Amino acid sequence: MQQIGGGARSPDMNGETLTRLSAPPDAEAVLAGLYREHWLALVRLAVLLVGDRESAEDVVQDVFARLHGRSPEALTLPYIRTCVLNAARSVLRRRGVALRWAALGLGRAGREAEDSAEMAALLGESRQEMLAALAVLPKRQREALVLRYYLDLSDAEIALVTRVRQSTVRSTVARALARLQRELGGTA
Amino acid sequence: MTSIEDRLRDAMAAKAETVRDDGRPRALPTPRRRPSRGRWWAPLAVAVAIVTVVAGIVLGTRAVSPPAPAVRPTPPGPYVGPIAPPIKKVWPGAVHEIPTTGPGGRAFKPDVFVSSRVVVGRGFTRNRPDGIWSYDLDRRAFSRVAPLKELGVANEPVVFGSGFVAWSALRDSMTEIWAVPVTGGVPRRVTAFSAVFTGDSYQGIELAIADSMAVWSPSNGGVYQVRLAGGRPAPVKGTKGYHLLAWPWAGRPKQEWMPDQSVSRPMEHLIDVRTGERDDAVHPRKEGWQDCGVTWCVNSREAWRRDGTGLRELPGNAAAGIYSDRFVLLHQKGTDGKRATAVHDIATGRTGILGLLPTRMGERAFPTVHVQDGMFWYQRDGRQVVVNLNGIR
Repeated sequence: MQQIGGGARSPDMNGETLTRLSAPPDAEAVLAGLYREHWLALVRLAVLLVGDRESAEDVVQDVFARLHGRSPEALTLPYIRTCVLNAARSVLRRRGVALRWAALGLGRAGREAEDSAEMAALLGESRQEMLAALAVLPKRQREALVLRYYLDLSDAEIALVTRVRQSTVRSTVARALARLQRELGGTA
Repeated sequence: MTSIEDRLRDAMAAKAETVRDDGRPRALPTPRRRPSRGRWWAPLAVAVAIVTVVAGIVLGTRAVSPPAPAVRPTPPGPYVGPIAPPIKKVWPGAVHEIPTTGPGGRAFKPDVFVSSRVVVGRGFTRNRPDGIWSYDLDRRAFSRVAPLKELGVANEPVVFGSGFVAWSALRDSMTEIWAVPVTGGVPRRVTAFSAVFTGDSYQGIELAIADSMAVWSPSNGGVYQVRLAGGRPAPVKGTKGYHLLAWPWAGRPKQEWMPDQSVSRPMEHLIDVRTGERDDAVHPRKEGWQDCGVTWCVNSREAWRRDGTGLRELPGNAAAGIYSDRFVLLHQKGTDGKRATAVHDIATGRTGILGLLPTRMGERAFPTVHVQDGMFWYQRDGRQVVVNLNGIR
């Protein structure tokens, strides 16, 4: 039998994370369990996407508030991560709109969230430099790097969460790393 | 810590850890909005369920049938248990280290083993594929199979069969299939046909070579074929809606791997595109599944044969679908909290872990595992480790 080559037969999810709960009857209990178990990890993921803790907590809060009523089958961690990614995109989009208004002199509401001096000291100069470079990447590239190098997801898993093909994940990560290298002036 | 990837990993972990758990109990946020549709059908559904259960009990107790083999009533929970030995100890003949760069310093990405000792892949310069190369494990040397000059070459692994290497490309809204002898030569365009787009997004094809033919399925299904010598694509009769799985088998429905589009029984129905023979998969407990190949099906913690027999628990949580018809990637968690990523052979029950990466948050599995039919591979510290699935007996 001849096997079909290629990443075309894409795949799936992180086993440890893909705790697809086996159809328990109470969706609310499943949701509450997921919230308890994964709140911290999801806020940490969101903080890398939106930059500050307050917004990150809002993102996760908002996602879970919208997940009520979903069937337990749908409540998988990859799905919830996708929701977090989408909610983070919405936050960044709103921030972008607010910033454009601010630039027109119509207000200061959209000031980009910034790390405090205390945070900067905690992280150190080298890490700050890396995070600053990460922050200027296009949204999709930043997401791909966060999913790969923070969550340690495989191409297949990133493809699942970001809803693109595995090959797109590979090229996005490669371009993101090249861009990051340029942003850092080739010092990495 | 030298590489940009290590620096990035470290910086992100440090930033993420600035969010600490304050230990407060967390109550699930209340619903943001109520579903707008009333559940008018609920009483009807309850009535139907009662009738179904009663009918089932009556029929079940009347019918005299031999006792069915015991099947675990529910799937097992997440795996916590022994971590498997390193893959190199389990399958020493199938694990190879190859260079990450080829001639001219171009990146080399392995795609397919054309024999047990030669792997073919693509060379990349500035992230663009610029050639097909083969690497001989014995001679430790690269040979160029063909240049890749065409723009729009799909970022998918090349495929091998009948002495040829083939790949697809997009040009002028047409999907093109190209092929070249594995011994080297000038690539020739085998055929071209209208490309499939979803919105602005190009949908590639699932390509293989079999019996000196290029065979493929576009994303909207159907199996097509054309001789490698060239010609017009010919649809294979009776394959509408089917997707090429492993020649000569095609299946439906295709797993979309999208959270909101996932299908509950991917590849439930198979057809042998040469003979028309059909094969439908079943679950021992009549549930859905994560993936089915020609021989095996898997869920996150179990595997079984397509006919529903041979149910077995997996020594880990299946992270992906089935590759080369019998392998799955597993995530294992030890009783001491150690985690590892493993390759598991469903047919033999053997398992080997890919390796562990020491990080400031403890040991973790290698993150950049590339999984595809035929091989798993990953990069680490300037090395490239390739597991030849077809070399595992």
